[in-house]
Amino acid sequence: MDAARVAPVVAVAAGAAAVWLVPGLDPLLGVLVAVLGVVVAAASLTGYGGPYLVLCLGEAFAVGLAVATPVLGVLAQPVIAVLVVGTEDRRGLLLGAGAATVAAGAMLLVRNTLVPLLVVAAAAAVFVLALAGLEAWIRARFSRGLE
Amino acid sequence: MRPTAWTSGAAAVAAVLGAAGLLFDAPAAAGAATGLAALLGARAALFLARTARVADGLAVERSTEKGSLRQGASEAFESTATAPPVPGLAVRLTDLPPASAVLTDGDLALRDGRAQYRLRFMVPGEVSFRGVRIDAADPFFSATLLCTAPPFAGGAVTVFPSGRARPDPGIGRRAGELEREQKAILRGQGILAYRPFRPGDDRALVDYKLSAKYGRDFVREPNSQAGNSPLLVVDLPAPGAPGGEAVLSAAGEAVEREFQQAGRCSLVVIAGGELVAALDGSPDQNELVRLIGWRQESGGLGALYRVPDPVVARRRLRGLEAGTGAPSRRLAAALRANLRHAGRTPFEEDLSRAFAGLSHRDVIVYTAAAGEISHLNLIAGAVRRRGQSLRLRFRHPELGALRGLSPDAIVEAL
Repeated sequence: MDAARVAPVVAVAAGAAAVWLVPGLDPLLGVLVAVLGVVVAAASLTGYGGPYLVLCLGEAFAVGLAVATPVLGVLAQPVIAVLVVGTEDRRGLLLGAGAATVAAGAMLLVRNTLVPLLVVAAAAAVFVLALAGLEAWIRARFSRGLE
Repeated sequence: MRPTAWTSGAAAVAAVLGAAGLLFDAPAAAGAATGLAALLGARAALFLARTARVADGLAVERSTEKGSLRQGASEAFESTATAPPVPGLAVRLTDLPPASAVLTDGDLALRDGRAQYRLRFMVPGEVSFRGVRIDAADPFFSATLLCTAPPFAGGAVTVFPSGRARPDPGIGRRAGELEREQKAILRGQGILAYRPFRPGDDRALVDYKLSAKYGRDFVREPNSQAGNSPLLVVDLPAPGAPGGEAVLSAAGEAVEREFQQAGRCSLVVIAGGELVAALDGSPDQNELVRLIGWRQESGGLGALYRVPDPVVARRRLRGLEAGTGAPSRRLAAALRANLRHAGRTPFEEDLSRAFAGLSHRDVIVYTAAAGEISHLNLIAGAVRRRGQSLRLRFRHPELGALRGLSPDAIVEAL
């Protein structure tokens, strides 16, 4: 089998199993995470339902892991990145996985939702504006006025 | 930079997770949302950086087999472009020819870094390629970058005039009967192409089936009936007029299309309020192209001043006659006297003589006129008297300039 396709499946399985090692785990949560893990792995391998279903299931799995323990939630971000980006573009995958892990870790570290989410929303708006400005600068650099 | 459907979907998932995290005070959901949003942002920045790297390393060279280029002749060009390979980014390069050139053969897209095509230059003088278009895409974003800076445009090329300039442009005396080589077979009107709707297009030409399929309006471009091609009228722009080259280029394309379909073309060339030439069913494409590129020797040709269309004038008179003030009544009297004693200008006489020998159902005028458009109104009057339809194609039709335009004309934007 293709190693690039098997790796996320193995990671999902490991994460689902690791949940059971969390002390004081609610068994119901453990079962839910395990089921989600199986479904995500199956959807990823078979392609059934398309990429959006895999992404949504993957995110639900990551949320389940984070509820069990924040560390597992952060460690699930690279798996999400593989589901979103794929494995062909290695550099893009590394950059995306790194950004997702750092951002999720920061959010889970704070353990609050309202203020951090507002900050994230504001930062996203600023980032989009900065990208628009950068794009405009790139266009101006390579062009002169067309009639 | 445009997001793909996949990016939009992922952003929606992030938004839903963030909302759920906020509503249920769930840090886990908020963390997942933040991670996904950060991933998309990182990919956006990476896409921009990769696209800029491609453009930075792009080098273009163009060559032609002939040392000198002639107006109206179809010349072969070869473009080669080298760009640094960027993993994860799909790049498509397209050459951008000069605005006054018409593509006659080949493809402008550079495949494996090469493109071969033929161009016909409509206007003599120094012309430059506009540059190269880069279409970049990855699974998350796509963008189009127009590289028109001097390194991509290359040096100017000189296009020499075709033949000698006409010593005496004169008035059109070449209209008349022309014996055709064969009978024209009426094939009926077909569809030349479909294109996106532009402001000014006739709504009756909208193809609703195609528009419903793609969610935006498309119009049909009908080809001409065999034996009844449209009469093309080119209003030569003054040197340096805004949009002039684009108008001449569009007119050149129309002439090219007529020759491809019918092997001949009927053309009337005017310059403001003066008729330059009128050719009915001419088989000499080079002659027509040379006429389109003709430049007046000095100054401007005879210009008309505020010659309104009689229909517009009568409408204005009705408005003035309903007025109550003394200035309205005086103006109405003056307008009434003008309409009563309106004679024909020399331009109208020339148009009548030129149109007398032409039996076309449709008349299409290519013009960059702005401000003074009296000559267009006189053409509209001549066309209306003959029961023909008139379409005016402007580069950028401005409402202010069209206020006094004849209501019989259909205005289209190039």
